[in-house]
Amino acid sequence: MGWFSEDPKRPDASKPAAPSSSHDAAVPVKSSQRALDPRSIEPKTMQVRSSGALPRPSVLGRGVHFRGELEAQENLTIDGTVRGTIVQSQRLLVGRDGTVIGNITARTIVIEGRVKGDLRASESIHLNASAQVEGDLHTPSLQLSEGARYQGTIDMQPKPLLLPALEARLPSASASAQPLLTQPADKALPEAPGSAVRESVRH
Amino acid sequence: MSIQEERASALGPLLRLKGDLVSDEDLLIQGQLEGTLNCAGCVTIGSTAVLTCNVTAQSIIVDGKVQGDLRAERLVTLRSTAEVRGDVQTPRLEIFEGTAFRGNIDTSTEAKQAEFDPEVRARFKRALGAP
Repeated sequence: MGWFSEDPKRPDASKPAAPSSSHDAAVPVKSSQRALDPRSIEPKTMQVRSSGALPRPSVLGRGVHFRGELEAQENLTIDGTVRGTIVQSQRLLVGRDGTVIGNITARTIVIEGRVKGDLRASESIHLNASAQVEGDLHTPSLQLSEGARYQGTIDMQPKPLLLPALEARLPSASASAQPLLTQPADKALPEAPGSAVRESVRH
Repeated sequence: MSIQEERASALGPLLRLKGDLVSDEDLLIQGQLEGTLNCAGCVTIGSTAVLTCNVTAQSIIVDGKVQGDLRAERLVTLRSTAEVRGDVQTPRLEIFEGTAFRGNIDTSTEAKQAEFDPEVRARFKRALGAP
């Protein structure tokens, strides 16, 4: 059990370099060879054991890629890549290296990286200077820093109490908009004059 | 070092993920994960974690609940609070007293290495659309 005395700092050397390493990783040491080297096994474990006990904020690091649905009832920092939806987050920070493709719902959203998708915040949205965002923003409070690249529509929803008349009109407006959008699409297919011709040609 | 450790990936207890997670770095999971987990480093499954997924990693440390297979290139450690239901495939296995485990164990050295091949992992990541 000599490895308990191993310096926990050592594994850093054997650590795979972070983000852009996907190509490099394909080249070097064969995994079977690495598995046989006992010196590189133990310090690694040691390091994680010591840090595992500490309470840490939720972070998806640069080397982390996730696809799917993410629900966070706590603060979350994303420096990696997320494809999918993020819901019920408290304070969400998409860091400089972070990329999110998908919709985000949170209390507060701070963007320093790249986002493609709609952002919905119940409190505020901050787009920092390094942000690149493509999508709609729904938030009562917005801060857009100089240098941020943004493309989309902003909806700073009015407080319901201040504008009750507008709120009353909203449901009916959306109800009448629905059939307008769906009906022509449904009807267009069977009534298209060309379709009958094409059918007969095939037979 | 300390900065790196702070920046290391950690998924807190109130985090719920449903999908595929690929990581090039060490990972600490305290929350819930449903789907797949593929990690090039060490995965620590904390005591509050509930995983319903197969885990593939360099090494795996389990303190929490896992339903699914564990495959590690180097080492699997099941600590006393762990509850694991699934198969374990690893050249080196450590089980602490108190662990609840049900499943098959394979510590044969010819454990398939293909899963951990960097190229396979890179392909997997590309499939996920990672840059």
